[in-house]
Amino acid sequence: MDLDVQRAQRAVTQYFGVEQHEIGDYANGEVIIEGIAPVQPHLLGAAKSGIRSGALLAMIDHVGGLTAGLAALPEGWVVSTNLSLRIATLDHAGPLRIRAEVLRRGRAAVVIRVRATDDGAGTRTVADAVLTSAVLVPETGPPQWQRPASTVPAPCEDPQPLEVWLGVRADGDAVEMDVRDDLRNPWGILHGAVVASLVDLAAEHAVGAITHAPVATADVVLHFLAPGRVGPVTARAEVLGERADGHVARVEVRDRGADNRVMSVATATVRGVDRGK
Amino acid sequence: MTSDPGQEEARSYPPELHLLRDLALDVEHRADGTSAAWLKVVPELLDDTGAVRAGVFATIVDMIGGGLSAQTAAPNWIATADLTLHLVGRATRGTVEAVARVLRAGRTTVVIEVSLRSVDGPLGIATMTFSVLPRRDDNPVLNLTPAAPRTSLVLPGSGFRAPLLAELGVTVVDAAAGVVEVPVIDYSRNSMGALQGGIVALAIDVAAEQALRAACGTPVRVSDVQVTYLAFVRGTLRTSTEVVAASPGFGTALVDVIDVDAETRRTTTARVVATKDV
Repeated sequence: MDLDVQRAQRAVTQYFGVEQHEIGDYANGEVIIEGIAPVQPHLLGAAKSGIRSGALLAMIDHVGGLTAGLAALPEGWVVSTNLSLRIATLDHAGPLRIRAEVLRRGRAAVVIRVRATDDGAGTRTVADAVLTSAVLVPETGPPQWQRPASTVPAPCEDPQPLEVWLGVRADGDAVEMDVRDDLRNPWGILHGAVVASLVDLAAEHAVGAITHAPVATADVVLHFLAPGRVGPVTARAEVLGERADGHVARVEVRDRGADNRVMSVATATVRGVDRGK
Repeated sequence: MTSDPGQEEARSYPPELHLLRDLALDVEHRADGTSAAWLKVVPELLDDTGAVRAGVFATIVDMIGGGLSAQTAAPNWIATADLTLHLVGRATRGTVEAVARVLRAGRTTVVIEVSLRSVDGPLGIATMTFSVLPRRDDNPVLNLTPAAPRTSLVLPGSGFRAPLLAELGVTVVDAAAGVVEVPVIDYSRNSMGALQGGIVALAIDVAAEQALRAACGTPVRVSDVQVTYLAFVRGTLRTSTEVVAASPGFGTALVDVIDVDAETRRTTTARVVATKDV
């Protein structure tokens, strides 16, 4: 398989509008990527005061994924295995600065820390995350990158709300989408950033059905267990309980076209958008 | 026959005086591939609000998840790569039940999910990733019977002699800054000779709780931990904590763990939430 990372990431990069630049001392093995993401109207959450959590998750997965991939070179490239994220504030002035650096580079796995800060709010921390990826060797060898790596997306041509762009539809207590070709990652499977967005939408769908008020995801732990190849892909959330900071839900994502295989399992905390910032 | 010292050590883990014995867990490996454990809530496990703290659950989860993943990865061995815990209730009495199941059994990782219940209802959910490691002679030897009756590590004389944090030697160096130290002692070592992953999570719990109580101005308790393990802690553990959000109802902190005896190497990083009602 020819692993054309930049072509495969084009649609995702363009929709979320994250510009990425390598700022680490790559010649000496240091890999640090800084992403810049403007707060665009089509990415706003229910309160219209900041980027919706699903988009933030996707941006973090995207920047963290590139960092992990570059760290895995020249031996291989990566596929995300799990993403843990805590959002500190749902209000963003923008642009967001998303910095990803390597915490650990092992033979089989790469661990990346990603922190998003808000340039428009005195560099306040917006979210902190850790992305773990498995190192795999593509049949045709790892992708070629010009270093320092840099990607600048073209303007978004389809600035629709996230659920519209992804083609997400409600299916009773679940949400569902098809696996479009432009949403696949370089490995030909549903992009991790898209899965993360779908988890967010499923969790908000389930909690919103209880609270009947605008909600936002504040915390996600997401395990990628199997690839999404066929579709449609369904995400269903089960609310486990409520606390001062919101409802805790378990989300299961399945590929219906692949024997309903479990693709991902996540735990998410979802809160009312007026509950603390 | 000459005895292999590594094998002898492996068979004798945990030692007679060890946290895993004092916790007095009953463990059962079931034919359906799940494992269950039961913990009796005793006064030594309670915090100043009268409930079992998140770090104790992390320790149980690490233990039962570790057992199940080791069984899944056999004959190879495993090490905890990450552990997350989300609580939705409090355990103040009776018995806590933990049920673990395998979400993914891969060549290089095993992913486990654990659900927790108290006598009063659901307590929370945990997930863990374990890295699969080539077996070494000094790794413990497992009984790989698929379904085993309830077993326990308890020996005559097992049981806490002091509150858990005192038994472990946890010292709060600077509460508001979330600086905590924990020595590595035989009582709290894992089978590799380093600090138990659950105890690292417990230290993170204490550090974040102290810092967030100061920042929130209310007696919040830790309800979520997302722990990423980067290296073993073999020397004294020390935490550093950054509060990134605080309100009277809940707060968020980032905690890093260093090994002060290994050139202050960062061994663990965590994101922690504390809330007032869990």
